[in-house]
Amino acid sequence: VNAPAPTARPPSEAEARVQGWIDRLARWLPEQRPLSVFVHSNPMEQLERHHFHAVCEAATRIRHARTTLTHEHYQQLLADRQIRSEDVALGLKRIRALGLERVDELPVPRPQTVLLSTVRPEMEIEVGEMVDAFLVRVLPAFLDLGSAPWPMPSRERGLLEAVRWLSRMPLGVPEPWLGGLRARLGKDKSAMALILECLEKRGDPETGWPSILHEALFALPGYAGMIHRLEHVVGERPKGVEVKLIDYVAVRLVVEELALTDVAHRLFGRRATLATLAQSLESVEHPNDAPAWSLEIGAFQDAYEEEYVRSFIGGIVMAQEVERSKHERVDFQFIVCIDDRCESIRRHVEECVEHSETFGSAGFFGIALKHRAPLDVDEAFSCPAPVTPTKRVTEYLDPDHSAALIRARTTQRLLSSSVGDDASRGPIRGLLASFANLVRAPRTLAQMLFPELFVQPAHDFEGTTLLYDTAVEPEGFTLDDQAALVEGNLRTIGLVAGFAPFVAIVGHGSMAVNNQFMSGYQCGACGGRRGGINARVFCAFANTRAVRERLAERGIEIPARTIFVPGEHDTALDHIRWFDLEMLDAQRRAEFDRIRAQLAVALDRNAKERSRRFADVPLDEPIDESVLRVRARCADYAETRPEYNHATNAACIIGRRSLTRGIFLDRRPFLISYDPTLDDPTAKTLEKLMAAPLPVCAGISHEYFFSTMDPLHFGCGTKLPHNVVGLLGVCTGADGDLRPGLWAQTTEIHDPIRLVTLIEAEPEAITAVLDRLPAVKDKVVNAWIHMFACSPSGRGFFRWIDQGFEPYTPLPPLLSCVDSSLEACTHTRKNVAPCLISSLHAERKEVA
Amino acid sequence: MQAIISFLTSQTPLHVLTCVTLLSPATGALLLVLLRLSGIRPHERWISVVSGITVSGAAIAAVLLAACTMLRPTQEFDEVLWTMYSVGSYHLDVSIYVDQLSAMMMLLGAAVIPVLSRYSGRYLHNDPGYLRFFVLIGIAATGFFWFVLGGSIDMAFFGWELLGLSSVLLVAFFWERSEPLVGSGHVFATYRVADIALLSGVVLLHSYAGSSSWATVLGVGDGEQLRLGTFSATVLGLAFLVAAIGKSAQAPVTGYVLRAMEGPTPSSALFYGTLSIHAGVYLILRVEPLIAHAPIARTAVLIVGLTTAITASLSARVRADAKGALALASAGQAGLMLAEVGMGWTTLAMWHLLAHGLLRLSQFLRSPSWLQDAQARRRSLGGGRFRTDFYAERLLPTPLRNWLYAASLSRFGMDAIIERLFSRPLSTLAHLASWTRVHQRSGARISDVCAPIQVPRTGPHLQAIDTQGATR
Repeated sequence: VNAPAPTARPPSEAEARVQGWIDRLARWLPEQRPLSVFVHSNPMEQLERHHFHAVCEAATRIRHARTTLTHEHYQQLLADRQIRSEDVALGLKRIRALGLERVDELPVPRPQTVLLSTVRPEMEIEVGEMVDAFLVRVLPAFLDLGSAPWPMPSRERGLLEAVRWLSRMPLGVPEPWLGGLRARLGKDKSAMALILECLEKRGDPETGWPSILHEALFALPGYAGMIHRLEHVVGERPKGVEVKLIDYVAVRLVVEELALTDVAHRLFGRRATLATLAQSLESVEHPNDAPAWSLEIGAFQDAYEEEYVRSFIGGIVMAQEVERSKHERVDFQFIVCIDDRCESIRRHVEECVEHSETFGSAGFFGIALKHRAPLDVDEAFSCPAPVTPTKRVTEYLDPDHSAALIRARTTQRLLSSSVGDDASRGPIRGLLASFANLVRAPRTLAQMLFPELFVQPAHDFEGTTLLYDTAVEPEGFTLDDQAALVEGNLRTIGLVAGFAPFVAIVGHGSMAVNNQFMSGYQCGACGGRRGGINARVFCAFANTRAVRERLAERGIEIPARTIFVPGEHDTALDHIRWFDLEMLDAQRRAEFDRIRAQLAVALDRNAKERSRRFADVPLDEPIDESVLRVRARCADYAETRPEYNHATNAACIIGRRSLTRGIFLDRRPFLISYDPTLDDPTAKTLEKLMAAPLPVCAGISHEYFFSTMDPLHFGCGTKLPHNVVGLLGVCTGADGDLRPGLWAQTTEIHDPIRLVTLIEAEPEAITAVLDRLPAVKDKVVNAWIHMFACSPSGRGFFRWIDQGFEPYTPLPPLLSCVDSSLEACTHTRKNVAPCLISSLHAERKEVA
Repeated sequence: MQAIISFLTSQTPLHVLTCVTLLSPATGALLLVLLRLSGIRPHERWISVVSGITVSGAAIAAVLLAACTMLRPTQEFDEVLWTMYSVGSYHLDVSIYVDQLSAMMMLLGAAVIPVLSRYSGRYLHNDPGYLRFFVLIGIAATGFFWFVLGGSIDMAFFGWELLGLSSVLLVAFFWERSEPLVGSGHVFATYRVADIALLSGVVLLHSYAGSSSWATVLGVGDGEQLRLGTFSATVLGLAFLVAAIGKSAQAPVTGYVLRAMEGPTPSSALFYGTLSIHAGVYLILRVEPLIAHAPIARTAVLIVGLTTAITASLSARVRADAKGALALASAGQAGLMLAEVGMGWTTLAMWHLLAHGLLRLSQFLRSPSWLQDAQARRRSLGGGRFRTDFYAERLLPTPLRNWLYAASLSRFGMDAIIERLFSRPLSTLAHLASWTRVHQRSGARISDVCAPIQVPRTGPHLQAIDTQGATR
């Protein structure tokens, strides 16, 4: 073992200083989960303790990225009256009053500090390119999660050891200028010792080191960020591999030093050293080409968002004036995810299915579980990302099916290992694969030409049985667990009485071929997976007689006639796959089929509503044709926009449906069902909702915000040249940095607005909850999200300003009234302001 | 029936088909350029329709041409269409030569190019370079058909150049970032070396054989014998081999295909999976009668091919990224084809080329699915037998295996050697020249003159959808 024995020696002052700067700067690194478990999060998540505008300013310095629109763009919006000048003036006054402090300011380095950015333009030699070329050759192989058939040997002890090993191998590091790498790395020097050595040669500790470290960390921000993440999240690392940011910094600095020495040799002769280079840098001025942030541009952004706030909150306020009444009869209850994509399907279900009611619950329906599909190697966690589930659900396949599956898989494996894609890399099997492919080629070419003929909903297994009860699955759920989970979720969404004969619990997923960001389209609350399994488990619990008895003891009477039906909504295909329908007898089945027929209409209308955003689907096309087009996208290898995902998100509403029913909200808000009248005095339920789903929604909104503002630094640019690396992420070209963030094909229709949150609860209750949730309070106080409250007792609306709620009375906008959702939107591809859907209001009156 | 066949295989319909194949894609590209130059911004749909029709027209004509030629008793079609000019015994002809080999290659192009054009019509939707892409595809298709159909090496060279030019420009498709520009520079430099080699081959062929027509020079077809001596055959064979090494990414320049992955996925598929990567192999197959007479050249082909097949395949196996692995694996397979030609197995090489082109096309176009495919493979490991794949390197003793890994990761130091021997001295020379020139002129700093590429920081397209007003 070459690693130095861990000594109890406390870090020296210099070490502590270096570590301190690395920690401070690493907060700015983009943190994205590996591609297979990709879910959205705020790229600036660790900086939410600072004010939003302060972080925007600092990001322009540290990431050299844009955090606002361009000045010209704002001027244009001002001219188009999409920004009001009085809002800009007010915003400017507010930002000035905040007295923002600059976050993480780097000291100005002394002239003799050897920085790549100063060496490069003067010497006209791309030192950075030399260094990056070496690192991007080694890093993908080092971090690979299973893409290369031949993984890197001896990578377990970390990057530094792996590079040491490579430097010992003949032809391992063939670059002539890296000839000294083996000697320079030494045998057992620690990473920190190497960093200190390199830093000492290049600059002054007080002024120079922070800038050198800054360059080292942000030269390849994608890889540095991924290493930073994997250092903390052991479960996402390649198995058994040690990943440390400090190793990366050490390797990078050593390689930089060798590259700089090579440059010095070429410029000043063989005897030149880094010191010679340093002396030559006396006169160099530090270039500063970062996009500037100014108070004024921050005020413009505030004013730009204000306009949306006015129309959105104003619309909801106005809609409350319309007469409303309670339903007397409900035949169908439809419970879906809080996802903004589900806003439209809820509306269409309410419009198309008679006497229906809808609810929004986090898509895992409160049940965190480990799940193994039949014969699968790996167990998947079907729950929100930070939770580690303890309960297990196994899908049992009957022996006949299972035997057939084993046969199929054996054949599949034989084929793939002899003529499959991985095998085709080798010389002989490549030859075999070429000829074997002639059989498959016609189908592939046909699908590329006519994708509409190949549309199929995703069907994994038919006829599986779930094993979840402790009686059959030792790590499963006890009856008490089951009752508690069902009760918990029903109370959260406010469904404790008035159960309909059918309650559909519908998770969601998305199916599209040839999409590198597939898991980003699935259910985030299920950890980037399809949510059908959670829906099935929830319904299985809720349909159990013993569970219902226990629920009745706790005050939730579910009538015997009520039956919970699980389903999975494919948001790209607009198709609901139902599970376990065999539990319905013939009569109930017929009733349910009637509802399904109405649902089919709702799904088609939803597809039509989505199609208006696709520029290649004509607006005035009949609904059937648009639906076919939208569905064909899922099977189309050439389609870079199978669906627009969360691209139109802008708001989040926590409250009863009565607040928003009958209002066309254009797929922009996340809708979280919550009934303040059922909550206890300390607002425990609200606390749960604000602690988990709200930050997720905010994370989605922030990732879209920053990726839209700067597609180059926060986003990953256009999808067209993307290349999947190591199952970790994407890069452009074959040897590029990892590109975290969102792709241009989804941000192109996004309006960068911080999440507008509206909670139906007393402002005092919300304030009290915020005091118990410091992380969420940071978001609100530091203006990362807009916060509004709607008092359930009729005290009106409130808005959070700086430190607390203040009454809010918007200028009433004019609300237009339409017959149906489709009438509201199918004439334009732009965003549509809230409007009233008269059919839903008419129904209300009729019921009344 | 007999009459129909004899009409089809007579000259006139073949001439028409030839003209359509050679000119249709170029017409499409020209039409698009003219539309843009005249200030019209044609709608996406029209661009893809124009490209689709012209390219598919050429493809259909090529298939018919190949079929009709195969129906002829000689299974050949050799014809001078137009003599541009003649000086003494020298003629610059536009001529075509179709035999089994070019018929096969035409089939590959005819299957691939229209599919790719249709695929790209949707894939590139809303990209600012939409029109440029289809113009370049038109140029590439033209180049390909001229290269394959060309009856003389002069025409083949013309096609070869067009193919290279369009591929370089497509690597630089996203010119707003610097990496694609640097990458296309590398591809361009490698192609130029190959071009010089091919051009010397052209000149030498003229001087040795007094003709540039394939049929005459290679003595194929009419049962003639090769006119060249062993020495001249060797020199020519080696010149063509260097050209093939450049175009088909053989050792030691294999590494440039990685730089070429900067373009949009369909262009990577077209050039580095299907057409360009096989163009070198096709050239060697075409001049195989010549190489068969030159043992040294033949051995060189075999060695280069085998070396590449092994090194590129090993490098592909340690690559963790989708497109890099595919590009290197394609180069490895091209190497294997060269080795087959070196062994004299031309028919195998021909079929191998056709099958491999189709395989890589679909693999490249499906490369965004890499993750799902990997997950599906992982999934399929559950249950049943045959759990692990077999790879030959697992048989090696550990130290040797580890060394092989390290060497494969650095592509056996080939890039470093090229860098050391060619790029560095050349760039030093260029720097010296420009340094002195700039300093003499104004005393300005280099950095003032060579300003870094300005990256436009585009804001979000707030109204992207409506401004393009696209409806299909």
